[in-house]
Amino acid sequence: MDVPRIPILQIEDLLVASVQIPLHDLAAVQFKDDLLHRIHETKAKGLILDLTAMDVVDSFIAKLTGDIAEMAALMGTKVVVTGLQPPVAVALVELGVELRGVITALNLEKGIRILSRLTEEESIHA
Amino acid sequence: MTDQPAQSDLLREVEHLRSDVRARDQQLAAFEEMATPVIQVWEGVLAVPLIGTIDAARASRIMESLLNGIVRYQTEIVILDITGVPVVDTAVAHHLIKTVKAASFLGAQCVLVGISRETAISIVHLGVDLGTVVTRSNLQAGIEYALNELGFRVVPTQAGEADQ
Repeated sequence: MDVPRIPILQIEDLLVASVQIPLHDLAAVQFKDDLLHRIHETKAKGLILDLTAMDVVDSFIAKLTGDIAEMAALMGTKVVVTGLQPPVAVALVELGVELRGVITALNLEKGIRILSRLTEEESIHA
Repeated sequence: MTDQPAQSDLLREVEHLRSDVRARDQQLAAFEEMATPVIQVWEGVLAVPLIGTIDAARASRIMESLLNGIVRYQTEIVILDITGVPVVDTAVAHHLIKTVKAASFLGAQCVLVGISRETAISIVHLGVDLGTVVTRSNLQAGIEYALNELGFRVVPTQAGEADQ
């Protein structure tokens, strides 16, 4: 069976991944591998994970989504999760997901603004 | 033939009960709405005044309407006012913490205001860790904090300055 891939776009030193299809287990695991690979490959300074279109999740996908964000943050890129829907947020909280080291924003626009401000600050200090 | 009137009586009775149930459903829906008002006090600022005891069912309703409010009004800061909550035990505190966390996942920050003397005592005695939740004394202080965070400042007008 063909596993659908989530496109991961690169804009300068930022990566943008927008989940637009319902993730089933295999697709989510594939997405995790793709994303972590791309982060390693591009050494991206920031990542935006846009989950606006994700409205229903089971416990596996919720947990994995939280894990993906935390893993990416551990790899040294600044992770901004945007557009999380209320039911997904509730599922994450109920599962005890902490989203350590992950920034959240209401929508893609705000996420990009936060991220570009953060990377700018860093390049000034560097 | 003798059944006929009895049957129509029954039908009338059923219809009566049905309209009763409908009316009560409406009342319940209205009550639930009243129980968790979510008010936009400024662009990007929501206030949620909580009044009365909070149980598990109510806590999840509060969380739901709060999160939906955040998305609908694209809110950056939520002021949770617990002035009207008489008892804050471990369960209620836990619900509040969960709500704050869920809101932060959406990208909104929560400010907890109106913690009374008794509530403060019980939170400390119960050993509840509110962690990094921002707290302010009352709604006014909460609004001031929110506006400050958004880059606004409340200053007296010219007329106000002249009076002083």
